[in-house]
Amino acid sequence: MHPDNLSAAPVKTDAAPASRGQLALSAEPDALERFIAEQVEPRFGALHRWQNTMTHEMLLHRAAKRKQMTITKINDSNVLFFLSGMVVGGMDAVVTSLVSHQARRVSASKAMTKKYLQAAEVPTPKGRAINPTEYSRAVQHLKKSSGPVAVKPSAGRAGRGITPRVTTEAQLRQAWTSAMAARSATSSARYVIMVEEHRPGLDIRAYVVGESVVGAIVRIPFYVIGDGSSSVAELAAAEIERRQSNAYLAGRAPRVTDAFLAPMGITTQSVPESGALQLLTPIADTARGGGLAVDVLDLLSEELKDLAVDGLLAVPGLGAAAVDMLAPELNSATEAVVLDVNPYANLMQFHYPAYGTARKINDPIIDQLLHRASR
Amino acid sequence: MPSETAAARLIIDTLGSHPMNEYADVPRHDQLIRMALRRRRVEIRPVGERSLVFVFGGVVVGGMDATVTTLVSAHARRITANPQLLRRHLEIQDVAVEALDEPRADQPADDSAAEPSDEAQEAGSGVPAGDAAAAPAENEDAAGAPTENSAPISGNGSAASSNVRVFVVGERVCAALMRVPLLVLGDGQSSVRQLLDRQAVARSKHVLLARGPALPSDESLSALGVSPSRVLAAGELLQLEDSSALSENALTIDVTDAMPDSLLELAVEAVAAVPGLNAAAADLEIVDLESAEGAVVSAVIPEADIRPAHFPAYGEPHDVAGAIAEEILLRASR
Repeated sequence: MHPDNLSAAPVKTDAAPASRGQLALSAEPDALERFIAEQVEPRFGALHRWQNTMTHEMLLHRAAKRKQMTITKINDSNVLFFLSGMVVGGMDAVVTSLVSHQARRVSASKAMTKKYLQAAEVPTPKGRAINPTEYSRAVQHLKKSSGPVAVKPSAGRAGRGITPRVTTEAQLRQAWTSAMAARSATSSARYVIMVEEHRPGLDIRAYVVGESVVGAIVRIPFYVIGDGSSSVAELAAAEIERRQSNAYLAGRAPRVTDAFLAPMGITTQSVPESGALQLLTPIADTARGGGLAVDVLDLLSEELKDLAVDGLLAVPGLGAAAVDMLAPELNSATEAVVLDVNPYANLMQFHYPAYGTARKINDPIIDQLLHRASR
Repeated sequence: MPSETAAARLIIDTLGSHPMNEYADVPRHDQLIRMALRRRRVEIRPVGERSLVFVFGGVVVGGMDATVTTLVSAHARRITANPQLLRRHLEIQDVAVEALDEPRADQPADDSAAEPSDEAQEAGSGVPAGDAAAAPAENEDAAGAPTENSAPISGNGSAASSNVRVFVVGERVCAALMRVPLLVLGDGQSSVRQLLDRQAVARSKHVLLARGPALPSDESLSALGVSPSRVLAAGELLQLEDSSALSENALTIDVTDAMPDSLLELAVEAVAAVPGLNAAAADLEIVDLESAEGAVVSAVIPEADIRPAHFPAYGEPHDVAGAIAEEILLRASR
């Protein structure tokens, strides 16, 4: 049983609706489609039912208390951890003192993070940071690219404004507008827009502490399986209803409207064919887009774990962070790339995955704080 | 300055018996750290316009963003940039700070909070005041000194106190500098004007001091109520400025070996009170140079310019950059 969620338990297998359509793989399934078919759909009825979930901060406080630490609140956002009267670390809002000033500045900008990854020779998609006033450069970059590109704000929040698989100028204009609208108003990342090569693959988020991967999830977009008669609105509503028993997901259910579905070129009234996989969002937005987190720590190859660690180490002075990767396979690092390094990642995704084993990554983070303090 | 204090005695002894150090050229703050790292076979790779990555044996062991190394956590930078927040941290850990005359606000001004992100979130909504997207030029003054974003938690101390800046790396004091406001020391023969002119010549041979503002003119002295032709008695100190800032013509005297352990420990405790801070300067206001009695911490400064420790006006230089380089390697090695 999950140590930080004593009331957590998976729902029974017979809870799955009898009418659940069988996923029919397309002729050339991509990595995501295969993953859903092989790792998610067979466990459809085993969606976790988390109750009384703890927030990111509570998880870290809980782990600190397990280490006999005293927690002193300085104000609403600042907390100190004491052990035997000595300060061993602290938290500034959601980040711990394992994050250096330099790492914080780097991670505020995808463009800068990319430079650090490149400097450390960590594979990352080729891309260009373009000033918002230089849209024509983005068009030129797209024309010169041999394949589709992804467009995203260099400093953005929670996956907003990211458009993958952009191939036409019309799509680029729409993606550019979306990225511009999602730029962070408070960030110091100079508001640039990233245009980088689109790399297909599974969206893997690994959590690295020190030089160890302590958690790994694949994030999948909100999807439904068609039954040949139900509309997307009906299928999505049934899926959202199913998630109500999961406290983590219930609070993050999206409003599925035509506007929500527009990036996928469908409407609420679209009727997917029987067995067809229909993604409802272009990216795996687990914040408010209905995406799901699936634990894959035990499936992740050592090569991919090494890549994640390399990604973390590329950013100086970073003791713990999530490393976002794209990889065609979980058991190989071939063609895998690191997209981002994020010390602000929410621990809850690892503690409360939709499917798979819950990972207590709060404990190794606090252990690392102690380790660093002991030096 | 009362001449009977230990600090005054030290100043009189130092200025009266030692010439001012001469330095024709000095590296910048960041150059000192780079040189120390290179001496230890650390490769330095520039990333972007203002950042460096330190690589040793093919592994990233640290870095520097403008003038701040990875020995400084983001949390520490945020705390030290906010006087009220720093005060709270020091008080909670029983580190002596100057008492406030007025009740303080419950919440610091810079108290914004960030939410954890499910996806790729930018660096929180709470960017410290001194953490803006500064270009390199904004993080260094014209003389190549890092701009100090860490505001003092109290004023400049009382008239009877002395300001000592202590450089702490890890849990070790690397250097301690008394920062003496502009003054002249009488010799029983020379006028104030002559003493100032002599000091100007000495300052011109120390590149860090030569860049300061002009020393007071006769008109300025008169405005202060000091006659330029006044002859000071031998050993008499005449203070002409209140500020202990080097940018306002203060002098630095190395007091590393003169400080009692109790004062050094106060500086170490002040730095240790800030989570994730492994190198910084602590400014102390000291009543008695021979005791920690009445001493308080007035600031903790991660971005403090280390050049005065390497090139003090009087006394021995101390290798703070070397200590920083060693600490970076040490922390990466374990």
